[in-house]
Amino acid sequence: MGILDFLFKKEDKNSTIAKERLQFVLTFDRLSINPALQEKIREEIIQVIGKYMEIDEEAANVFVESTESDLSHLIVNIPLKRKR
Amino acid sequence: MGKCIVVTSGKGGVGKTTTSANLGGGLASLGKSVLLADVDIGLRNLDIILGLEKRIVYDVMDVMEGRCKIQQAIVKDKRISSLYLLAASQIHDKSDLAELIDRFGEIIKGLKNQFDYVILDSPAGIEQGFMAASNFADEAIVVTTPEVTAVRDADRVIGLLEAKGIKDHYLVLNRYRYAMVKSGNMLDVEDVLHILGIQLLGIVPEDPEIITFANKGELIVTSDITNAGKAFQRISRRLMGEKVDFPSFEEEKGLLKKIKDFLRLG
Ligand SMILES: Nc1ncnc2c1ncn2[C@@H]1O[C@H](COP(=O)(O)OP(=O)(O)O)[C@@H](O)[C@H]1O
Ligand SMILES: [Mg+2]
Repeated sequence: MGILDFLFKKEDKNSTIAKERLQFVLTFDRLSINPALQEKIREEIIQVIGKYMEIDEEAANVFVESTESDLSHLIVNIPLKRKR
Repeated sequence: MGKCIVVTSGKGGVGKTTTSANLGGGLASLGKSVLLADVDIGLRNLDIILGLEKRIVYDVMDVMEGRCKIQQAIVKDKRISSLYLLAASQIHDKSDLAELIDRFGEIIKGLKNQFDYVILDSPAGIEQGFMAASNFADEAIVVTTPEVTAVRDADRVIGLLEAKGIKDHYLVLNRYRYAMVKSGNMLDVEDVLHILGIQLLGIVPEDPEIITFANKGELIVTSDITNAGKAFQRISRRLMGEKVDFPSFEEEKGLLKKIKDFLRLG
């Protein structure tokens, strides 16, 4: 991003906000996953991984991300505790 | 053998009836024989949009329940010679159609033998009425406006159509406001297509003339001077397989466009 872009960076357009909000709700609509179920999946994945590795449960994150392609990805991000 | 096309949306009030009527009128004006069937049982609308409300004697439920023959219930349009209407029943409700679903299937099959296109104007929602209407369709037209609620509901309908095996489904983006899109205050057509992953059949601009034509009981597709009329003419030709360009900024014919045209001339 150039200095000018930075200085004149506008707020997100109203239509961009609409697009992003739609993409978010549709990801879950299409998978029939509600936020409560998402939390349950998160807990269970962390539990399984936690059986075999020492993980940072607080920082663990599981979410669905839709990319520019048509595919949605389930992203599992679990930091491991540093061992010495 | 003709084709049965269902016009659906999910959200109500986005333009299904307007699209059904004008697409039917457009195809008929291009020489095809078209039957418009109103299957929004309990909320009859197509008759009044076509200006045929005084001519309805029998309706689709009368045919279904054997009170008349199908030919008695089909009403010829006043202006377009190959356009016909089968009206919805006002006194029944959506579940009545769903209960006689096999009979409805037979009727559609018979109509497809008689007409080039059978267009079903379906009710809003994803319940019985929509399910019944889409059950026997070969193709579907999904109508939405560029609003978050309508697009979300359209996505749901597209999922259901795919589950039913209706692979040929196209989008009509209605009430498009070019000026709002330009100023970044309305989802643009690219956004909507990207989100829904569906083929575009056409864009219909927001046009107050739609209301004045509806008031008169005339189809705007017969008007060559209105933006919405021209949009429906293009949509009809595309549905028949013709390649028709998508003109950008159709609505720009406002003051700004006139000034631009004037400057270019001068
Ligand atoms: N492109 C448009 N511009 C202006 N008004 C429109 C447009 N499309 C539809 N309308 C109006 O919106 C209302 C709902 O349209 P209708 O076709 O009855 O929707 P639906 O059948 O999906 O409930 C009607 O009053 C109609 O005149
Ligand atoms: Mg309607």
